[in-house]
Amino acid sequence: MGKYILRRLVMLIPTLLGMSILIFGMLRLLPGDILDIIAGTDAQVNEEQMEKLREAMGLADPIPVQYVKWMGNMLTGDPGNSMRSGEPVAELLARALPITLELAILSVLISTIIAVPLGVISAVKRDTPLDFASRVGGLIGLSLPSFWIATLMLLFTSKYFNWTPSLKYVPIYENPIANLKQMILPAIAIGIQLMAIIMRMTRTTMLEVMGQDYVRTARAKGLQDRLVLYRHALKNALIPVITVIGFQLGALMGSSAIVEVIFGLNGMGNTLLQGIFNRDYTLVQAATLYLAIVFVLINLAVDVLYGFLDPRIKQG
Amino acid sequence: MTDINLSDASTLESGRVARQQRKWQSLRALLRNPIGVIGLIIVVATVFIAVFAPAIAPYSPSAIAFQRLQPPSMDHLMGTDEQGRDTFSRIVYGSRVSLQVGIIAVLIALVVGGFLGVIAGYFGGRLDSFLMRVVDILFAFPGLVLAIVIAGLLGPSRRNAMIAIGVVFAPAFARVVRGTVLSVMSEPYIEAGKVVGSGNMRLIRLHVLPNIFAPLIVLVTVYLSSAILSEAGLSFLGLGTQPPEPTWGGMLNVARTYMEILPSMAIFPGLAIAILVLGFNFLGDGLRDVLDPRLRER
Amino acid sequence: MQYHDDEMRLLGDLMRGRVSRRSLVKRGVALGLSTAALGTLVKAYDISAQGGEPSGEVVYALEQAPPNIAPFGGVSQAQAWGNEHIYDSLLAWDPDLNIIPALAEAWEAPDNMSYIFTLRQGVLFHNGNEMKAADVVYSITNAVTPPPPGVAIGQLARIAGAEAIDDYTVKVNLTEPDPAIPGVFAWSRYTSIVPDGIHDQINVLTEGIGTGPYKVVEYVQDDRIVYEANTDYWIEGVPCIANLTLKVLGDEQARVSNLRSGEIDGGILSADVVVTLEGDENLETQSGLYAAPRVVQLSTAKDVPWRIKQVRQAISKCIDRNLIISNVYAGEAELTGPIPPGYGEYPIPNDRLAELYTVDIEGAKALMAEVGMESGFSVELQSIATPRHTTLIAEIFKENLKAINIDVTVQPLEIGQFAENVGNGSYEWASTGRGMRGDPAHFVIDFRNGTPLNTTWFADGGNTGTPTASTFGPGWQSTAIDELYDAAYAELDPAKRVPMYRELQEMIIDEAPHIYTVQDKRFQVVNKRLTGMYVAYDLTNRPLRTACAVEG
Repeated sequence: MGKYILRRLVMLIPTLLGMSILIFGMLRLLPGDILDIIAGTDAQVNEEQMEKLREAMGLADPIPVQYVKWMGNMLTGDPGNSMRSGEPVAELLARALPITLELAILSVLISTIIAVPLGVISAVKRDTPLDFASRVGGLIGLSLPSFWIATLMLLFTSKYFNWTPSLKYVPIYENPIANLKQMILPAIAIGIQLMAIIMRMTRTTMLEVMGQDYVRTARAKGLQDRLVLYRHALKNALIPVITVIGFQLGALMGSSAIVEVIFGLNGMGNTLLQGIFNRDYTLVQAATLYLAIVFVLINLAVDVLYGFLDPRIKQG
Repeated sequence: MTDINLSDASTLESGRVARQQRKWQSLRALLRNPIGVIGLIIVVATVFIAVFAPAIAPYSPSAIAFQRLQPPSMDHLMGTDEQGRDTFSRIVYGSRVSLQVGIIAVLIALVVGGFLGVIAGYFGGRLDSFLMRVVDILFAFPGLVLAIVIAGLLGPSRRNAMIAIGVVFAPAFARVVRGTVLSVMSEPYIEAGKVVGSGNMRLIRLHVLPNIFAPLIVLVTVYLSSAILSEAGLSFLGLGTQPPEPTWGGMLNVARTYMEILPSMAIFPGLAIAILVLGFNFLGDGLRDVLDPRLRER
Repeated sequence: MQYHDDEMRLLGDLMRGRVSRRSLVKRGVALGLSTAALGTLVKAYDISAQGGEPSGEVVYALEQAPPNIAPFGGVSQAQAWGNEHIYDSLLAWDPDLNIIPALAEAWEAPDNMSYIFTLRQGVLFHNGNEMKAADVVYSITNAVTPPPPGVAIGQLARIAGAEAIDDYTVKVNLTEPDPAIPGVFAWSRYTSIVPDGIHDQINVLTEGIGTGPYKVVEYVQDDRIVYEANTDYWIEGVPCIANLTLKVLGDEQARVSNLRSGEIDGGILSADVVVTLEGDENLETQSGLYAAPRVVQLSTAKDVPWRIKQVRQAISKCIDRNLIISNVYAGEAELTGPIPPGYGEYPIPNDRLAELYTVDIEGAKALMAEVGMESGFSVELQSIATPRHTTLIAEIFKENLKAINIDVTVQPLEIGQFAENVGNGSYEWASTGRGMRGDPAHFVIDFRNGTPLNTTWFADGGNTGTPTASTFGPGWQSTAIDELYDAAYAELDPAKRVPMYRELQEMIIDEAPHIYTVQDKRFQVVNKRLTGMYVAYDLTNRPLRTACAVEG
């Protein structure tokens, strides 16, 4: 197991290297740079001076030279400073990451708690109105964009309860109740889609497992339905569900941006979005790599968990 | 791109492949499956509306010709939007764009991801691990960044939104296809084919492709709905299909501003998306029930 | 209730101590204000005039994140929102855009080539040091050549340098005569006064030391900026708010919800959305004009059909500006020429604009036929994807121009790309907006042949200077406009400047190198506990300097 984890971690290196080249190149190819943004659309500035500034800021160097310089700094553990504010990128991300991480975990938790039982019921009562209702419900959840749900939530709570989540982030270790009050709505807004996905996954895998020989044998042997269900089916059915949950957890990290914007949360998504819109190269590059590392680590954790749950699975 | 749904991928990975293709039998089975039939009807109806949009829509979708923000009435079945355009006509024409975005984005993902997956799975070894590293990179790349950068590089437009969504989806397809191909590769008839010296291309064409067909169809229906939603997410960021071209996602985004003044503006495109997503997913469910024998046997 | 521009001006005067309460009532009656409205004004005044310590906490929403809060070299509006409370300039504007003293008590122009400013004594920076001539010289030097990532500002280009004559007198030397300099200082946006050597002491991108009414306490990138009152501010009784937070809330519906719940005390909304908050008794809607005339730019750098004057005129005749007013701005906008309505006496009056902008499809067709362009052409019209105004205007252009067979493709772009394209001339047409200017000349400078953007946008070959093959004639220029521009720029007497700038604008509208459309009103919704707020014409949140917060 240790060896396996180590190998996976080593494999992270080429992945990160490839990503760094990809994100670096892409950002440089993107039209406009930070100076265009600072000069705005209404500038009375001339291009000559802009060019001089670009030289001063190292933006005029050939792209490979810029990359090597950046990589050099990264390897010494310095991801640089935000091009807009000069603040250390590491600090900015350290502030943003916990918010997004919490949001992702919370939404996965909420959706799992609701979706797994629903999926099981749906599978057990296959083709009954109950099954049909939860499937349609799930699909409706799947067809509502999260930005829409988020807006609806805010309008609703503000109109009928004169309340919206606080705009000032309170870390969970400082005040768990205030923190949860603030995070629960965005987490649900993100989680509704996930709920639909997990519900469908659980139903499908349950159906599959229930069709398998050993479950049928058990049933034929007269074991009680319920016992079969819990003992064998659910356990096996959950394995792929866990994969998807882990996978989604990683994916959520980079994709909660829109909900963060609506709820005024300054997480990774918002940071990335503002970074790209402002062409804050150093910030976006580092944020992308951070997210990739988190993503890979979560997947690794899921795989390890997977191995514990199902010893038959050969690692690798 | 919050709405990208990298979902039922591993369902399919874990799902085994139908041994043989029994096309007609499958179709008949599908028609006996109520969920599948509902899905099929919805999808066919949407395609019909898209094809005959000019005949169905009472007005031009872009004509700024009416009093703005009208509630539904006999003249305007779904009211008018913030520019004074007929919402019903825009929904009808929007079916074209939304279907197109969904289909082409998924086709891009299918072709790119499918190709990588088949190559990696079939040839295995070094090539496999190299290709899978590439896929990993794309996978771990935040979809949002990828989509913004692509839309920024190529300029926001319908075409580029489709490319962006396709590229973001491709790694999921690659993984699923590779997984399925690997399971096919362990089947005796592949061994046999290799032993009797059949060419790689011939083996892929005759034995590998037909066997990954079933899981792919299901994957496609799931991702079609994701693509339609992703376009809405891109519209939120101003990177989706561009006005005045009507898309359901774009309309839903604009309607957010008017949610309290004129809820109908948000309800109709929302319903349209929900129904089509429902259609694709039901069709997918139906197809899976039909194509996956173990589910059928029960 | 809704405050109107005039009332707010009065209130502004009142707070600056320029009007007594009695003359307030007189002026108010002259303006036709109701007694109730006057009552509210006086009440607001009483609260702010109570004096004593600043009190209360206010959260105000920004639509965009300030990229940083550097005092120099940022053009983006959001950057100004971030730094405007920290810094003052030598001069300021009164609500009618008359130039009034600020950090300089007096100024004079001894000759054409210099200005002399006499500084106010006893003004303290946030670090406790007194502001002196050396600080001002340092500030002006940095304003003219800002350190990276600041960009050098065109309006300051004629400043050769500044020198200290004594501790409280500063001389600004020019390379060429420039009557717009006092206006640029009064605008304050590019001419913050900072302590000497500030760049060696702090990171000016996230921290600040100024003389302004608020000190910056915390800067959280892309999230919020927290300020506290500067109790040593040089204007008695200002500021009135103890703790001010600017919170970035980019989504309009989020601002609506948070206004309702009281999480924020104020923010900008669109005219359509304001309606939904009307029933809320805790909130109050304010509106007013501001300076951002909407314009569709036609680049003539390449060989294009709209190099022909008749084609440009035909385009202008087809555009239904009233449709833009009703559909894009819910009726809350006015027609505009190059100088937007509200900019003192300079703009062309609305009646005259209505004549100039009469929709005349037949006339347009005739013009197109006259130059053999009946069959029209295709063109790409770039716009900004979010916020959507410029795109919506572009859609109306597309619809309107179908009448003369011009096939417009609207291409909304992400802001970074749009900025780059407009900056270097990579567009055919572009739907955008101008901003505030320190002097009327700067609204029309781009039409003067030889200025940097003029070359990029209009000259044959644009930036590259390589003339293109010419089917439709050379790139746009007008000798008559150049001459009148120069004459107006040399004139210092406002009474004479007004007719000159009006005529200049009529010439520009007739030539139609750019198609000006409308100037919308800005809507601000504030919680009633926040008093003394109004919509600032220069797009700043300057009212927060003098506003007060009632507890609750």
